[in-house]
Amino acid sequence: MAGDPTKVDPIHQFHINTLIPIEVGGYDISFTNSSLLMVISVVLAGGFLFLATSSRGIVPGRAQSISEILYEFIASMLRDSAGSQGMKFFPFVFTLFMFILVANLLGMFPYFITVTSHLIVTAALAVVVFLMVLIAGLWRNGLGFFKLFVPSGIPVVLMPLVVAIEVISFLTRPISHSVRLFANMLAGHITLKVFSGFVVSLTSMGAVGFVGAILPLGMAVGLTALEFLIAFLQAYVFAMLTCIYINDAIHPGH
Amino acid sequence: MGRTLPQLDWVGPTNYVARDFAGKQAVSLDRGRNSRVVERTVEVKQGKIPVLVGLRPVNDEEFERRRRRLDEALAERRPQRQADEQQGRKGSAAGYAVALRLSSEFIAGILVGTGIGWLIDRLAGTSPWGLIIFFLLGFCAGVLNVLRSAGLVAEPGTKSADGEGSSGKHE
Repeated sequence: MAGDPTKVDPIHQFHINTLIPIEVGGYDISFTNSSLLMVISVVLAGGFLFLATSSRGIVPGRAQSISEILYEFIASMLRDSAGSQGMKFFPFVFTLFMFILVANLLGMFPYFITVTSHLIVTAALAVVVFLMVLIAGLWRNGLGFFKLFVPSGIPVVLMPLVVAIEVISFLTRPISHSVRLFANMLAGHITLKVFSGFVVSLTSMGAVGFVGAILPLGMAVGLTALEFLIAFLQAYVFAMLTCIYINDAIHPGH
Repeated sequence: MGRTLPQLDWVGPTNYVARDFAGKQAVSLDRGRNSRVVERTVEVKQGKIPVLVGLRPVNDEEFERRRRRLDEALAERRPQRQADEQQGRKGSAAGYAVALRLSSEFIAGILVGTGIGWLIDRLAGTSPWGLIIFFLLGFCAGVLNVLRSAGLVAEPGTKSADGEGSSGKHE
């Protein structure tokens, strides 16, 4: 920013500020604005669902309808991709979905940091999913889980090559899983900020600038709507991929 | 069969009927001639106002059977709905999302392959062969990832019969 109010730094919104400095054993585990937003996300998602489901009317109210739609949405997604056995993982998938959805939507507030626009956050979520699939797969199927890497109907000669490629492909999952969410949120917020920056810079140039600023302002408004869609879509995509991976943990055979 | 019986869509555990149906006979429409006695009615209240009068679900088996029937009926309509969604998703924002997805899949393959090769070299001292071989394998894995992500190759773990269903929803 450097003191110049007409220059807008599109990266500044991702800056992490320490709110309560904490250091344990040489590691910086301070409570930051990102941590605060995560706590708010958890409290909002949990609180909303708790309040919405507390009345339990047969004819649902508005809040209860929303929570029922969310439940049905994730439950049918999980059942479709992982079968009824996959419903054991429903609390996990639903928690992930709600957390990412609320965090993405909170990121749309001005001055709020978008926690999912940091690779470390999405990577942590993706690694949790990856490890859970690995552990659950080994737990349920034992060594049979490794059948996942051996496609059926492959000539023996090609087997080592194919298995190596399948193993690498499996290991790439947490990367593409996390990068997809992170990159979408980051790119969307930067674009939004750049167009808003145009509006600010142009209006400081006087009358001509005011007229010229109409176009980027329209873009910014449109992009905001698009960002809300992406906020939902990316939470959906993250949960969907989790469901697909969970299916592999349950049914590794071919 | 001289008198006309009251007609119901289906005399089942969750069908709500008028209060005075209790203990009377009713005809279900989807089974044609099959008529049954309405077993017992129950009132559902919200606060003090009775909102629904109906049959208590007495038979779990019957309920399960009905649920499966509904699932089958819904399954018939589902592919149509998916196709519609995919049609609608072909906007400009969708193209950008697909580009991001495919590129991240490809780059992830190369990164992981190279990383494994580098680790093997470091541990076994086979430099540079591990790096070279695993870079190429990573490249293959990246291509495989992209093809899978685009729905051109079946996912691992899905049978070819239902592979189409899951690859279509992969976004």
